[in-house]
This record gives sequence, C-alpha cells and structure tokens, in this order.
Amino acid sequence: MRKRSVRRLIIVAFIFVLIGTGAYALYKISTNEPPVEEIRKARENISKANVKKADKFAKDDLKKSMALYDSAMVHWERENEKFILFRDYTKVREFANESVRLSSTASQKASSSSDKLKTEVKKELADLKSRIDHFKRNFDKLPGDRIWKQFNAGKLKYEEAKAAYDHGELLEARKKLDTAKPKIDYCYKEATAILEKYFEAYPEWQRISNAAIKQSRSNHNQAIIVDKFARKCYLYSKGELIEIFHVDLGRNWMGSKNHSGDLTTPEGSYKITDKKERSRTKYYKALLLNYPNEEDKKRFQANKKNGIIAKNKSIGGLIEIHGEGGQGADWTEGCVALANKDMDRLYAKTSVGTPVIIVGSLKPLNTLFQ
Amino acid sequence: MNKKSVISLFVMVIAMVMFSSCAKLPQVEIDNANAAIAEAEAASAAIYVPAALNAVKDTLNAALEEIEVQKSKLFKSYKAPKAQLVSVVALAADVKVQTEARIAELKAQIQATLDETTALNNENKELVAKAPKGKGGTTVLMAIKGEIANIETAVAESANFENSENLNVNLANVQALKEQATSINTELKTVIEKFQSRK
Repeated sequence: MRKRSVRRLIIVAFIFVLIGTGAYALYKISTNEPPVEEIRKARENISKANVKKADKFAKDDLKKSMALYDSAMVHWERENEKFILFRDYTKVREFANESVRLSSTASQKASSSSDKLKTEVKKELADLKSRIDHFKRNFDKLPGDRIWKQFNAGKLKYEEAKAAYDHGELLEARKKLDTAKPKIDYCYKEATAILEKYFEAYPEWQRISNAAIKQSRSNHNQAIIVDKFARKCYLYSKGELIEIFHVDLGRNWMGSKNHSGDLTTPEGSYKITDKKERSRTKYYKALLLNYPNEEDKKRFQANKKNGIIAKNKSIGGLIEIHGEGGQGADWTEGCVALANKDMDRLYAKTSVGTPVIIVGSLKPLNTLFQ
Repeated sequence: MNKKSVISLFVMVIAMVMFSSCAKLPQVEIDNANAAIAEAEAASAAIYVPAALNAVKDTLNAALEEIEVQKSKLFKSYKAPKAQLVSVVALAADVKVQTEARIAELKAQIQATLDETTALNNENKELVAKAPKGKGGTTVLMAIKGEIANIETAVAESANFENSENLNVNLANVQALKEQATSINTELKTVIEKFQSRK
C-alpha cells in the first residue's frame, strides 16, 4: 500500500515537471520571437540603397551595411542550431538594426552625392563648351599644329563627357571632363603666351605706323599699312584713310620673316620698288617691296650667327603685294594678296616709292578678343 | 491513468519533438540558386542588367530568411522557401540571357555607330577638299583636318571593343565621335552651300 502511494506520488510529480517544463518551453517559444522583421527590413533597405546607386556614391557605407546583414544571417543560423530553449536573437537584431541604419545613411549620401555631381557636371560641361567655342572664335587665326592637336583632343574628350552625361553615367562624365579641361586650359595658356610674346612688338608697330601716317600727311602722298592680325590693308593719302582692303597672308603669318621658305609675311617698314602687271606677274598685278631691308639683313645675320637659322638658308625675297587674293585663307609664301578688284584700286593709287608698313596689329592685344 | 498510458504519452511527446526537427534543409536548392546567380554574375550582369541581378539576389535572400524562419519553429516546413529557391534558379538564368542579349545589342550599336562615323569622316575628307579656302582661313581648315585625323585615329582605337569591360562606356565614346563627325559635316556642307549660292 505504501509502495503504491510512493509510486503514485512520483508519477504525479513527473507529470507536473513535464507539464511545467512544457509550459516553460511554450513560454520561451512565444516570447523569443525570431528576428524576422528586423532582417527583412535590413534586406529591403539594402535594396533601396542599391536603387539609389549607393554602390557608386556611398560604397563604404553600403558595403558595411551588407556585411552587417550577412553577420545577422550567420548569427541567426547559429542560434537556430541551438536547442530552442537556449536561443538568443539579441545579437542578430543588433546586427540587423545597425545594417538598416548604415544602408539608410548610404541611401541619403548616394542621393545627395548624385544630385550634387549631376549639377556640377552639367555646369562644367556648359563652361567647357563656352571655352571651346570662345577659343575657336578668337584663336582661329593662330598657326601651330601643336596647339590645334591638343585642342582637338580636348574637344573630343568634351564630346565623350557630354555623351556619358546624357547616358546618366555621371562618374564617367566626371572622369572625361577631368581629362578634357587640362587640354583646353593648355591651349589657352599656350595661345595666350604666344600672343603675349608676339605683341611685345606692339609699341614698335604703333610707332612705325603712326610715323607713316604722319609722313603721308606732311609729304601729301600715299602710304600703305598692313595689319596682319586683322587681315587688313589700309591705304592713306595725305594722312587720311581712303581705302580698306581685305588681305590673305603667308601660311605661317605670325612673326617676322626669318628666311626663304618660312611662309611668313615680313614685318617692318618697306617701300614699293616696282609695279608689275600682265606678263610680268602671274598674280594679276603686283607691287614689289624692298624686302629684305637693312633691318631684315641685320636680323638674318644675327640669327645665323646664333644658330637660330640654319647656315644653308637664304634670306629670301620677291615679297609683293599682289592679286589673286580674297580667298579668305593664308595661302601665300609670305606675300600680301588682295582680291583682283581691290588690287586694281591699290595699284592705280600707288607708285614706286610708296611706303608700305607691315605690322602685327594696329590694336593692342587686350582689345582684340570677343 | 495507468503506467502504460503515461509511458505511451511520454514516448509520443518525445517522438513529436524529434519528428518536428526532421524536415530536410533544401541544401541542394540553395546550392543550385547560388550557382545560378554566380553564372549570371560571371556573364557581367552587374554591369549590364544591375537592377535585374539585384532583384534575383533579393529573392534568394528572402528565401534564405524564410529558411531561418522555419528553423526557428518547432514544426518546420521548407516547402515555401524551396519553391522560392527553384524560382531563383529560373530568374538567374533569365538574367544571364538578358545580359547576353544586352551585350549583343550594345556590340551591334557600337559597330553601327563606328561604321556611320567612318562614312561621315570619309565624306568630310572629300568636303574639305571642296571647301572654299575662305572657310575661316587656312588655320581653320587645318584645324578641321586635324579633327578629322583625330576622329580617324579614335575610330581605329574604338574598333577593338570586343573584350571591353564595360560596353556602355564604349558606346558613349563612339557616339561622341559620331557627334563630332556630324558637326564637322554640317559645318562644311553649310559653307560649301553658301559659297556655291554666291557663285
């Protein structure tokens, strides 16, 4: 009897323990919710950040966020390996929440960086286009292969930058712009340096052209002044301007003539030594000048001595003002060419001995550009 | 309640607990899904169809999350995530196909643009020869000739795009070349037309 009571007691106690354990287990299961929402939110936030191109504009934050998401998943997996009563998802939630925070930051940074970059690139493209157009407009007369080669290369990179921008490839557009700008800047720098050096002679140009006009006035005769930069030939009579003609020059027009074959139109004070027409010239009509003058000869000798000109070069000659011009191009080998109808008028109004002043420019450099 | 019933009840509970843990993890499906995504990535889906690739990866992650959700439960069922993983394989295969199609499309576009640019550039060479020298002067004509030469060189360099890492960039570049050639073509034609109308 006693034995049966003890056995009954043990069984009842065992049932209570079982029920108690079961109740505790159920309690634990009901309160220890797996971190489903937190993980889902972390994943969705990373997706949103990707849509905002955070992989390009907020790479580091996105990378860290993805690493935290992966850590959350790994920890979740680990906890799920454990017996249900011993699982603890605290760490998983921490990783997931931190991932959400970083991916939100990445999204914001990406939006703001992308917008900022778009505005920046748009403005820089417009500025660069403006500089390219300005350079073409103002320096188109500048001879020199090196500058134009760089200019064309810079212009091409600009077009590539624009195409990338139009395709929404902002980072690529930024890269191309960073290549294009220094090339165009170089062209400006070089062109400006060349012109500034060239225009160092401006005071002398001003002096000899003013002297010629003064002499024309006092001697009551004609004077011709050629402005190379403007491509203009001015005819003065008794100190008054009576005609303006458009001229074509030598292909390598900038600078003073150094030797035969350099395709440069000389600069300085000359005079007409002969008038030719019909069979005496193949250029319709021609006014022969006394190039080289004494100054030209002195400069030539000095340049040869200093090794600037090769020993086998000659000084050149037969520089004329002649017809067959009006082509709007610098095509001569150093002469000044006028359209035939203009040549008729100049030829008629000038004579042997008429002074001819050829200068780089009648206007100072700072007034020349649009 | 007799001893036999209590023991039977106890055994049943233990058996239920054990069997509830026995649902098989869809490891094969997980491996297949990962392999399919890896194939799509190897085909450069990240460059050419990034949104589609991210969507597939997202679906895979959702499936893996569902697996962990099931693992958290007493009575597991991997039926739903298994189905998701199977769909990931199909989606990833589709992404790979989309990538290959996009690459083929880009290559065709690039080649067509290069051909058009070459034709324009050749026409520009002929137009320069016809252009009146009054076209801004020799310097400008020389500059145009320089641009034409540059375009020719750039076209020759761009022709080697087959193994490019990112054909989108190649396309933008050749479109820029075409744009330049077109601009020169228009400029020269306008000038020649004006010159001929004056004659």
